Amino acid sequence: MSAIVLASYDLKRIIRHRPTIIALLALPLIVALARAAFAGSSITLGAAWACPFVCLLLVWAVLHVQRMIDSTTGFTSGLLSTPTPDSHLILARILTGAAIYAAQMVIFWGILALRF
Amino acid sequence: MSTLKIDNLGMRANGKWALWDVNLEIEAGEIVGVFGRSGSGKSTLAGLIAGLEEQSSGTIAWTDSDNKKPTPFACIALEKPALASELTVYENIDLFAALWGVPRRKRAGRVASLIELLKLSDWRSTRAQHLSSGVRNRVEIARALVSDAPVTVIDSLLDTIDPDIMEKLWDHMLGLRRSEGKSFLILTSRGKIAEMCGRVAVIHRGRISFLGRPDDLRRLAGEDVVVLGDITSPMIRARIEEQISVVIREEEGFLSFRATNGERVIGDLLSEFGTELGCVYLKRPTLEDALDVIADGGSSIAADVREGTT
Repeated sequence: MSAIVLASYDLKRIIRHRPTIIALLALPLIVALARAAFAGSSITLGAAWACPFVCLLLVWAVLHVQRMIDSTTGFTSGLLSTPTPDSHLILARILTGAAIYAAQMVIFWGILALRF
Repeated sequence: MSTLKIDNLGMRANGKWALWDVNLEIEAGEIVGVFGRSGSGKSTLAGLIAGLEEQSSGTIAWTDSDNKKPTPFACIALEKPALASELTVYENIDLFAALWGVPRRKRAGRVASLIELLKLSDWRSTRAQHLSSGVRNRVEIARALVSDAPVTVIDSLLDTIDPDIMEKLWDHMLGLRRSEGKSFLILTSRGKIAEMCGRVAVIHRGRISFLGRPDDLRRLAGEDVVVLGDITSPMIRARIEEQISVVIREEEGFLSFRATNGERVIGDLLSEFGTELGCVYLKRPTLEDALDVIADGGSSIAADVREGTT
């Protein structure tokens, strides 16, 4: 339960950080639109193939940076002083990442599905 | 029945003992102050109690009434507030309430009452990144108080609280102590905060140099000084000297003398001389004065503590 609460708040934090959320959602959007517009291009085909992996990498990078910032600002110390097990803190990160990745893939595959 | 028992606790960092030979017991419903200067080891002790640091020696034992390890144990308000900058004041407190296992139906009411208690209503929906340091400190205290943990550790944050908020906050803490048997460990470098606690542990150079009541600590700094001014009759000095057997000094029209219990002496003087005394002052040594005494002769006082004479 604590992992879900923490994940929901983590997600809220990422959504409120406008540059981050724009970067996260713009990538699949642009790649999918480019692929839709230039269906015959091998470049867009390659980009479309790579997009899910790049999105995954981007999500990991965002979560990693957030973890480093939390560590610097002391937020991590606050979390560690609660009775929440470490495994729940990790699970919360995974859930947050999964939610963002799911949103990216909905955008990406949604646009491709509309076009083709 | 003690809630928290610290035995021979020590922590070594960068080849030096940041904390050593710390022994402290906190009973359920007790407010204990850890009083020391900046860099004396207060935050290290707080970090060890909260489980943020690992001790090099000694033990920290948590016991409840059944002598079992309770869950959760100690909630800490850190000197450097542990807030998520993108979350609002309400969300930060609510998040930690959830992580401390406060039931959902109780959470909203408890968070709202703490926001009111610490006068945070104006910032309720403000993100932590836009708060001033004073407000952040208050949010951090609210974050610690929201839990049901039997011990709450507040690291130096009460030093920065405005007096009107402090008064209400202290009443709230006393209420929690009475109703839920909660204990508090208040880490401070201010004597005025330390003297509000039931017991005070003076920490100096990583070691507890004194443990006892604030009044006993104050006595280390010497006796009270009673100052008398606007004396209407020149005979009063002789009568006071005769009655309470003290040596009175006269300086710029004021009479002054030292007394062990200044308050009682003043009461006696007022009942004896009444309006003949124009004005009376009591100058009591502060806990900071006592801290200076300990800092100057720390080893001898530590020895006294071991022998149980302090």
